[in-house]
Amino acid sequence: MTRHTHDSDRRRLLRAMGATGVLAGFNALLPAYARNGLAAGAARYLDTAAAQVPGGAARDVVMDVHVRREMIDIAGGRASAITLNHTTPGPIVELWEGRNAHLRVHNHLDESTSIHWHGILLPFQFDGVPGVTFPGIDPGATFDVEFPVRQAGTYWYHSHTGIQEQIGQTGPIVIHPAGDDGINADREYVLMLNDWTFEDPHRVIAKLKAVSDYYNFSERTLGDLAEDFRKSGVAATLKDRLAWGDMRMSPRDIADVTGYTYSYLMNGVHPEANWTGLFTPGERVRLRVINASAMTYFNVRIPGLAMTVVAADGKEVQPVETDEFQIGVAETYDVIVEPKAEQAYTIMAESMDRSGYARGTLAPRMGMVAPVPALREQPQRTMIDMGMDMSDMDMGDMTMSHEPGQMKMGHDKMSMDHGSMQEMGTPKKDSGMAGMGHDMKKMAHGTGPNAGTMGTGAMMEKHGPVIAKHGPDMHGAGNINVANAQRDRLAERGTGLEDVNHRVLTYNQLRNVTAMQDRREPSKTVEVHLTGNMDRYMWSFDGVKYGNSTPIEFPYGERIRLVLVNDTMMEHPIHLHGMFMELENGQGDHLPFKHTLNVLPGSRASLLITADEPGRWAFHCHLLYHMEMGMFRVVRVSDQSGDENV
Amino acid sequence: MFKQAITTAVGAATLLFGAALPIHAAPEGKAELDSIVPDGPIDPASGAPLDWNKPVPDQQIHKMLLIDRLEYGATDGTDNYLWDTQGLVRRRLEQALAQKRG
Repeated sequence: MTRHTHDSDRRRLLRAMGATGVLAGFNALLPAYARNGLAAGAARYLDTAAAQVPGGAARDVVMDVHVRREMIDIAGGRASAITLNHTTPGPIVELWEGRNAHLRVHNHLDESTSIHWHGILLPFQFDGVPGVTFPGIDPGATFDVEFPVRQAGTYWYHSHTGIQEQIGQTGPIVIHPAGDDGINADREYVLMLNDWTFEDPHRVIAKLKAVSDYYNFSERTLGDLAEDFRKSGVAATLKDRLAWGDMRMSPRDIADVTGYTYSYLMNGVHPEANWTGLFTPGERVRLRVINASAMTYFNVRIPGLAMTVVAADGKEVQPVETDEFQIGVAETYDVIVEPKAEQAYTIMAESMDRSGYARGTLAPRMGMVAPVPALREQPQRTMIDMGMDMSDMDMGDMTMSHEPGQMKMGHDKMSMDHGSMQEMGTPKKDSGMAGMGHDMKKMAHGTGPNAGTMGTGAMMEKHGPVIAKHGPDMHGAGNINVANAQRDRLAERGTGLEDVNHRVLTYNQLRNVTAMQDRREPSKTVEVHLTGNMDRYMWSFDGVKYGNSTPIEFPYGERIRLVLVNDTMMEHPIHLHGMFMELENGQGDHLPFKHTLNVLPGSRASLLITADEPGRWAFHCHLLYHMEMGMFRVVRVSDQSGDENV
Repeated sequence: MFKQAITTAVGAATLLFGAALPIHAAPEGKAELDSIVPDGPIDPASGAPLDWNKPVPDQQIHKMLLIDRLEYGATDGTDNYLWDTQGLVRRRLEQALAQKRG
């Protein structure tokens, strides 16, 4: 384990500043380790100019993307990364709706590679998933991708081979609409968010597999235990700890990989080096925010500036003004900001677990900075995240504490449908909390940032209603927990944002600008459960890892309802390749399109899909290490099953 | 090894000549329906040709060896040893954990 000394941090900061031009003009004064050996001015990241969307007349595009392994200065250090045309993130792939794209991917690595065009509608053979849509791009080979561009919006591209995405192989895609989209920005920037580690990602996986909370330095400690004993008593505290332990989870399991090893980058730039986007006061600036990280959710805000969300996952939505939004891995949001003052604004992208942040600045001139907000207190998981129905629990068997995170309850009255909790005396599976008539909204509110953590009345008001109960299938040995009470959580704020005192975007606010095209009733419903065991770092769908699965069949041309149930206690960003999903979020016939959906723990979400894109499409959790562990399936859109060839 | 070499050769030929695995793109930018199920044996999980590599390494065996402490000392002609080691081999559910101290 490497611990950074103050001295090494200082050296890394110098390198970061040198690499990002902060020390431009003083390069010769830098020590050797702070020089990158490139020609003067050559940036290895998306600098202000490279991140600004050029635009221009619509045209067919032919573009070469060169994939290389290079030593670069990144995140205040020096490391071997995969670059795209010598930078990470790679250059903007700028396309025009209604025109043609010809993208040539050249593999200069000594291993196979691939590029997946995330969110792009194209023949599946070009989708770039080795082992599913094509064999991969061998060393020295070139892969030609040609397709007519059928959409507009903000997307991105990344490797779908091993862990290459984690070590730099990501880049933005911007597609201009064929007509006027009415958004009318004076200038546009892409904001790529990445998490970077100097560790070998294979070693990161190995550590997680051996000790799943290896990177979590916020777990409850002996000191917390003593404190809880003092405040709540020994018996209640032990019951609480046993409940979490039986689930192989901790209320502080927010992120698998944290700022302990990650540096969070904006357009490839370390927060200390401060990526800057320029504006003239009074301009409308469009920020195309892309979460291209491997494992990190971000909460994005610009203190002092309201943001108007105009697109989600590339697709236009009716404008929603907000102050903060949570962006799951692989999601994109387009926001408009209109800075009026001659001042700098900090773009703050705080990791969901609050272990670090990416940061940039919007400013009228280079060199201007604004205050950087302090990291907020780490959120905690709740009983709602366990998939527990607490709406009518027998309060006679519970004691509530006013301290954060201190609800103690008699678990013998809970039905958790937990494999290892059978002894807790659930009357029967899926019985919910029947007969436990008591209104939790009458309970005392806690105080402090985590007051809602374990079931105050405020928490109950904030969480969506229970809309379904879990069936008897426990999903086998690969799964440790099921969401007995499945909630509609689309109106909820993201984890950690429940109590912030400003506006926060929620999924139910997203409303498509155009009416639904396919109004048929679904002919088929596919229910998929997100399953796993955090302790053993096993992740799967329906308790079945990819290697033991078979394709999910979407009959060609039919309307499909896809139901996602998150039985785990973590968020999972679920991505379907090749087709957009219409999120049933209560917006009538204006359901928003999504290519990646953040499914909250203990929640049930429903999506509609028109299966009109023939192909073998990947369907997976976009947390890279969850996918690598088997949370991956293939969706086959076809008029035949192919079973006879197996 | 032989299988891997064949796969590599086929892949290289495909990329170089574009002939071995023709891409059937319909004019509107979608794949042809008859290109979804390939001829020949297919992988039951992906529906892709059987000889392609797997998209995720979820069959991978994870190994860990930690030698936390290994000491030797000699006092008054007596050899003293102190060690603490852990090892783990895990493939999904199947795992063996060994821990030895002395």
